[in-house]
Amino acid sequence: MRERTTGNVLFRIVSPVAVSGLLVALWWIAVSMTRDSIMPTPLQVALGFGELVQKGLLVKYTVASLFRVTWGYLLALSLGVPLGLALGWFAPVSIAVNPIIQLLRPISPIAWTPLAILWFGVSDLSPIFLIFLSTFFPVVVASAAAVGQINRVYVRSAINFGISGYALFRKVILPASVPQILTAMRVALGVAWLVVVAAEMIAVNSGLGFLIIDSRNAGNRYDLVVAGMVIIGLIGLVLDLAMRQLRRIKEFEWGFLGG
Amino acid sequence: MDRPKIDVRDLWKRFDGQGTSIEVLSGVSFQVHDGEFVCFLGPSGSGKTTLLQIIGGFDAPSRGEVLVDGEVVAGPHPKRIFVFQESGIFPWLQVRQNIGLGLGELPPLERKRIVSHYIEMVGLSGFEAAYPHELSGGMKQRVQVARALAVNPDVLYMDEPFGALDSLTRLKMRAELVRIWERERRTILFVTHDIDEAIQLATTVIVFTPRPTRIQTVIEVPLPRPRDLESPAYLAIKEQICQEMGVPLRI
Ligand SMILES: Nc1ncnc2c1ncn2[C@@H]1O[C@H](COP(=O)(O)OP(=O)(O)OP(=O)(O)O)[C@@H](O)[C@H]1O
Ligand SMILES: [Mg+2]
Repeated sequence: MRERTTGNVLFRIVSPVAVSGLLVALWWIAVSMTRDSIMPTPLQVALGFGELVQKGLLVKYTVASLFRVTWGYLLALSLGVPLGLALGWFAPVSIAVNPIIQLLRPISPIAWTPLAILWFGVSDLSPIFLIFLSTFFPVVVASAAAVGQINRVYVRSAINFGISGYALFRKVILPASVPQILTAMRVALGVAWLVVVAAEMIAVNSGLGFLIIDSRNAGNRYDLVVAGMVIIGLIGLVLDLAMRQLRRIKEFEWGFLGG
Repeated sequence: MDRPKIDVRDLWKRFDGQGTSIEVLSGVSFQVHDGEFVCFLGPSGSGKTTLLQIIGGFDAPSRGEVLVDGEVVAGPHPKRIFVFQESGIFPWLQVRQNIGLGLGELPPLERKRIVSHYIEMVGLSGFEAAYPHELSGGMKQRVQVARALAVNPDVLYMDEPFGALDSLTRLKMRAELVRIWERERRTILFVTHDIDEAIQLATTVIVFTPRPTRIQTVIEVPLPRPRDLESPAYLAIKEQICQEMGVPLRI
């Protein structure tokens, strides 16, 4: 691991830039060769990007999207992690609740859109609800699985030292599950970011998803469509990099060795 | 007053699976006195771990009972600490937090004093703030031993605690354990399938048969300490155990 990361810093910077540059060049050549009037060139996208910044739409829509993701995601974590831990620890809870979770889990959050609009109308609440759904189930399942996989020896040692009840939960069950939960949280944030765009195309009048669908509908502004896509990609990348930092927490490094 | 510290009375244990049922312990009885160092010796799969877990209160026998200090064991007890073969310490806690695990009730200063004392005893000074994944296998086991000793237990149950270590480290750990035992005189029940390890450590070796397991023989080891691993008396005991277990002395 270490050997590779410190290997050649120059290569690690130059090669991705070169590959990306090559793709942009190919895109540019392809558009100019086909003389397609709708498909934008990279330059047009860059200009469109500038236009969005100038009009203040970029910041406005990004904030709108992030706002929805934040609330839907945090809500899902604050309910999903405790529920998952309870499912993993208390067999009766699992027997009662698990079947319905397994049934709801495979339903794409997007399939809930009509119900979301019915219940919450065209407001922030609809995408928040959809993001909540997309994050909640994976987090519940991962938290429950994390508890199920705790090394029995940890629990036995704790009991041997007289640790039981809530202290057992706080000192053993929770910390032993954290690495897997962190991984699930990172994946879930990625999913939430995918879902917010889809939700905003249908259920609201702002946000990056809306920007894309609106730019297309109002005059085939494909330069803005692609600019929006690039922004979504960049923000997704930043979110994932931020979540990745969680595994640096010294206390939980053990859970990510070799990962 | 000669009540045994640990009184194991006619233990039977069978594991029932789907359509299968294996008899692991079939009538094991013995007594351990306060301050004894008893080694369980037996072939792999003979039920040594099962027996120790039952004595430790982590598992229930199918029949029979275990008494410690005259009371029937119904579950684990904080005065009788189990040292597991591996990964018994918590990877999310630093060395000093792991060792202090059983000291939650004490005032912080007292706790700190005890933790420092045992960190020094097991030779981990300088590693107080390290996490287990930053330690070697032998160091991790020393943390586990220190964690057990820190609560001042009456009894230690050790299930092949050095089994995963290289032979040099094992020798050192044995020496340390004997030193600690000589100073603090706790009762120790120690599982191993290494004949030399048993003779080096024990005051009494209990040899088990293959499954279904009973006691094959009980051998006292009256050798003075430090034990000379090449003395005729040592080798005589080794030969006796090898014969009991059907192990060739020469290869
Ligand atoms: N929970 C269980 N369910 C079913 N069978 C079990 C269980 N625990 C142990 N056994 C069986 O009991 C037998 C004895 O196991 P045990 O772990 O006590 O042996 P051991 O003497 O400690 O062996 P080793 O020296 O290899 O550690 C084995 O055959 C094992 O398959
Ligand atoms: Mg065993």
